[in-house]
Amino acid sequence: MIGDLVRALASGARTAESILDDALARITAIAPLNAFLHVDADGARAAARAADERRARGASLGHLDGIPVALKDNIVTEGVPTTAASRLLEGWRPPYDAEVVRRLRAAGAVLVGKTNLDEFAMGSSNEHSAFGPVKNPWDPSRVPGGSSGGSAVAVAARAVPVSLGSDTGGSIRQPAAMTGVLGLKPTYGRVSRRGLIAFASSLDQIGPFATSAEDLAVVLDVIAGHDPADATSLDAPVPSFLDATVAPSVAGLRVGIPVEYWGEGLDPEVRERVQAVVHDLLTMGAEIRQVSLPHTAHALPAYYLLAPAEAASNLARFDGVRYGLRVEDPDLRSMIARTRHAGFGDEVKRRIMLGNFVLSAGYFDAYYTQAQRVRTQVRADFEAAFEQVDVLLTPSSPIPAFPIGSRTHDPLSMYLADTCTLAPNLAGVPALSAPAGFTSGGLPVGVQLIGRWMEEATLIRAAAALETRSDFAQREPPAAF
Amino acid sequence: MTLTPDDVRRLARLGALELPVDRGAPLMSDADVARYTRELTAILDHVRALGSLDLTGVPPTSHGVPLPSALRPDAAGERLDHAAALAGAPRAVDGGFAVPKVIE
Repeated sequence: MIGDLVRALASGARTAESILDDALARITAIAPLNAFLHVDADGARAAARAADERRARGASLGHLDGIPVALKDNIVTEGVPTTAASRLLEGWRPPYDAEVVRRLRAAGAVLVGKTNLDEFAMGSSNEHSAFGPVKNPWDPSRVPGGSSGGSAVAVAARAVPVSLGSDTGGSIRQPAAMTGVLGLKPTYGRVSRRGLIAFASSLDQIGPFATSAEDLAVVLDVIAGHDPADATSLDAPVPSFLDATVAPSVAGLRVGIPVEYWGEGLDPEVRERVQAVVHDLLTMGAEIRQVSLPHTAHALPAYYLLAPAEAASNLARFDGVRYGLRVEDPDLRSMIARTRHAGFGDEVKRRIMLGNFVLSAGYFDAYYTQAQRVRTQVRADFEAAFEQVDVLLTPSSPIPAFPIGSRTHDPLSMYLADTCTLAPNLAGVPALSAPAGFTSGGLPVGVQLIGRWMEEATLIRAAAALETRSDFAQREPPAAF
Repeated sequence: MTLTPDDVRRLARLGALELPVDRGAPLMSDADVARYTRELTAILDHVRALGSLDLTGVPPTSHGVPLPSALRPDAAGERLDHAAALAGAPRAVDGGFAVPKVIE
């Protein structure tokens, strides 16, 4: 964890360079899990040496100075290959850093490499990468969840203490749950999207993975805040998230359990583990009450109408003209089509076609605008619930990690795995997944905490309080796989 | 809502995933098109239930969080270096992105 590393650095017991050596060795050791697409050993070493040099002259930058961090490969890194796990961007080196990358570098973080994901962040299992699936360290025959599978595994398998992912419909929270780590999707607009390769602009958010609430807070403190270069960035004050982890208490916290998240389709062992967390909160003085989010069932179809529509628009820029793959043809439109046909995988093509269908004349009002009306209702559900409670608690995923290949033949079955995580993206509220234990088969289970707009601190405080009751996040997957 | 293979080919052309009509043999095989037809039909069957909901009076929301119109002064700010912008180009000519001729 970051605190341990910071203490070791401060005392001189470790150097940032030796910490990096350990991270690089671990990344090599976990290669069979396919979590990393690119390792920037040279860049990382330069950053680590700079951190050691700063520390030697008493000019350390803060909690992340010298700490290894991995980045999902849909976050652009200047001069370092960024692929979005797509053949279309294979070999592309961005000409600029994403805003979150600028902030991490300014904080002294050692950026070790780029992690694997479902192509263009479209997926829930990390099986849709052009560069092979990512495997779950708890059982490598199973998925780690997606789309940020690589970033989740990089932390779960202890290659790095923290990583960044992105979340459009659950892509941080669900893999966090399936790999036994913490993951946070901030309030929409809390973290700049500048330099995040866009999937669905009104839903995407970057967020951290970690093995403790404190480490989530350390990263969020660095990456959160207004960015004038992102027109959707919130111009709102940012509290200290690290402060929320100090003497964390949930006494008097009103926790709502939405009935709609506990129906059929919920694995009984997931139910049991999440109920145990509810009990822990109760014994720590939280008030538990049942609430209703009546339009929950409509969130999935609304999401699978809105997100592909936005994606179809966002992915129109990949045309072989300015960057990435080009398949030549003397006719421009044919060049573009050949490029996109060769560069995009099946799931991306499906979503582009679905999105264009939803946006086309004759269907626009029945589907797209209708989905936007449902979005109003989903948002209103949260507003009403947050008048009665401070935090909502649900499972992060209705099922634990499933076997690789078990859902790829049926895209709809893959989409149905997202039922617990979609609504917060539609409403823009922050949500966190924390480890809730393991199934009898040894697979991690996650509990989701959903907060009011801009109240990430409440979620972090609750997660920190839960850590005083159990050490699920500290358990490590088997060393060999 | 049943999509036909022709619907799927049309959607593919709309999304520039398939060659324009009369530009040569289709890139997508009949087997690919059949599979996408099946998959997209199943997805649309699931989501089309929204179409029959009576939501009169419910205004559409495009963003979960209300966003004010974000304007800034019309002044030069950070720029991307021209050479850096061209560096990733599949084909650059005379300081620009070269593409196949558009006007015949």
